[in-house]
Amino acid sequence: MSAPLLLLLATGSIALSVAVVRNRPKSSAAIAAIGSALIAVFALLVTLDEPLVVLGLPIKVSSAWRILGRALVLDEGSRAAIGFLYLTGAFVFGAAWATKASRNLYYIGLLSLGSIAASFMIQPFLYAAVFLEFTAMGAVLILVSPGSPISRGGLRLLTLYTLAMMAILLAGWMLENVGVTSATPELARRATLLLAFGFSVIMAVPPFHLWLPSAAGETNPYALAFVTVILQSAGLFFLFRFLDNYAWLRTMPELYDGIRSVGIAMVLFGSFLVLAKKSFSKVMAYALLTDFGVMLLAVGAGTPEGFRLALGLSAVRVVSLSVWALGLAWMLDHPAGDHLQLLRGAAHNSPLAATATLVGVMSIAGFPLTAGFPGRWGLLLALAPLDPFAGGAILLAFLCVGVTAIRWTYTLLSEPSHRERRAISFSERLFLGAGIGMCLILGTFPQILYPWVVEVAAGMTQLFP
Amino acid sequence: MSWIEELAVIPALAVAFTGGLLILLDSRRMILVTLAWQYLFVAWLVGLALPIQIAAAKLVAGLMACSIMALTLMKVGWPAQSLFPHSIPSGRVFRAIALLLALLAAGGLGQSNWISLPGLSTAGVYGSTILLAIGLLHIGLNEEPVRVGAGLLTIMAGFEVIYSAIEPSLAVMALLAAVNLGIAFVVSYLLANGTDKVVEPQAIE
Repeated sequence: MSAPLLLLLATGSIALSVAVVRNRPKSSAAIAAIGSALIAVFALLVTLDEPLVVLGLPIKVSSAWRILGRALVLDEGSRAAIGFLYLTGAFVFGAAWATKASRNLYYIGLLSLGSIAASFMIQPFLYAAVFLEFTAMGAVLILVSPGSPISRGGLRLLTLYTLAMMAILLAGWMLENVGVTSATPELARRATLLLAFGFSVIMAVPPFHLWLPSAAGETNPYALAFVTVILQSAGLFFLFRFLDNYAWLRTMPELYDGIRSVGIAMVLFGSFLVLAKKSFSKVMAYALLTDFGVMLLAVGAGTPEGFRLALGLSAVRVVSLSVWALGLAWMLDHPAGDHLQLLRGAAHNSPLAATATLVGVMSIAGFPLTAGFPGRWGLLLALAPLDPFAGGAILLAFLCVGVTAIRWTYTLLSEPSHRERRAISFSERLFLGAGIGMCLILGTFPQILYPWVVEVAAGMTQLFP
Repeated sequence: MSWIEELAVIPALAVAFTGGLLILLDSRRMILVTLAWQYLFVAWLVGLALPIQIAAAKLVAGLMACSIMALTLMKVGWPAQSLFPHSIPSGRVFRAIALLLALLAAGGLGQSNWISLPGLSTAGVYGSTILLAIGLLHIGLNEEPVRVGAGLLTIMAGFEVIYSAIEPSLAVMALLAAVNLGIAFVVSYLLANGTDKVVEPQAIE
């Protein structure tokens, strides 16, 4: 038996089980969340390439699965990342039933996780670009549902990821077969340009972010949160693998300056637009852009500490964004009902959901005592002495998203046009409360999450010596 | 030199013709028929670098992608052409001028092996460049699912002509064929869910 095959088969089987019970959201969420968690445990704990005795039967789980001349390998470099990915899935699926998200979120979501896991395991890793394309296809199906059928954002996502896949495959071929090194500057320039394009799409660097605001206005916020979380996490790991594998790229002096410049531009772009938007979902889209920008600033530090902070920020985003989207999705009757005017006084009608939404947005902004704060603060301390502009950008992101959070707090707490307390079940109350609690606990005790998250990339020995 | 190589100019010119039709045609039925024909010439271009049996697999994958979209459209009844309102200019004259410019650009680029990849014939470079240019124009001009799907499949075809020559691995070919089918499936899903029922059927000349 091979571990990658078992992992993918388990993912497919759970997705199939979810599809069977697809009209029962609570059952779907429970199966998807528990299944994801079990696969995460398998990826993290399975003993590879050594004889085992299970229920009296001798078995050996091999780390590689060969197919059509290529291999999927679950090694030390990928198993923690896959564990993290499936745990993220378990976290998001667990509360999804409370959000009226499309049923696609569960089974297509699981298949998308499987595709990302394959992208982590494929050897040579350059073919991961194709699996990211499959993930983007899944994302389109998650974003588009019978309840929100306009597909502009989804089609843009598919288009951009298809172009990115081609660019990365071509760059990968050049790196593997033409012998790109620092001694071949022209080839290195071409490969770098192709990679820059590919990763700009994956990291939603403007103008390749266009799918995000479109999708935000069309789809369930929780589905959007899931899609952005998995795509961004996969993109970040893919970027790290490139940096870990190619010394000429890692040691290119202009690379980290370039990444920081892009990060600063993203923060500026997202920060000003987040102030201008009057739809809460669009605010989420642009706040995410600033968050991605801050994450790129961490990568652009070019140090192991910076890379660890980027991973930490990525993990914290899962919690912050999920809590924000959970609250928002619960408050909304339909995806377009999130305008400033329509949500005025919503906190009086749905106090717990409004609190979750505000805690989530504050966490994305990096308010003290929320999950987003420790990573941002650590990054500010590490980066500001090296690059004051980058430090200024982190502060600007905090100020602009923070001001937006305060404006929305005022809006949600205003006197509503009519008071009608929405009924909330015990389990919904439990999930919303747990989300809020988790955001605050991780803000107060960051040591719970950060040391574990940085282990995710322990296999990348060049980046994390 | 086999007849496939001797007559290689035919598919390079034919993809310019079929690609042009894809841009200019309004009927979804005709778009899919043209796309299916285009795959025949794409397979010919791929056959310049690979054995014809493997190139035929590309043809089969392309035809399957067209069939998936056609079956969905048959099921939903070949609805009338619809475009997102107040978006991109979409008059036929505008499209024809844009097509001409794209073909000129592709012809200029195709004169040399602009991507500097080995093993590519001149006809292959021309064909792939034309397909890439027309596909990009297609997705630049449209946001309607069938047309975006046709544009993406055209770009994929152009890319596969190049990539098959430099990376003739079976696994990669299978993955790229799966990408083609995936694009067709996603477009079909959007169509089946009545994605474009909500947009107004008007265009800006």
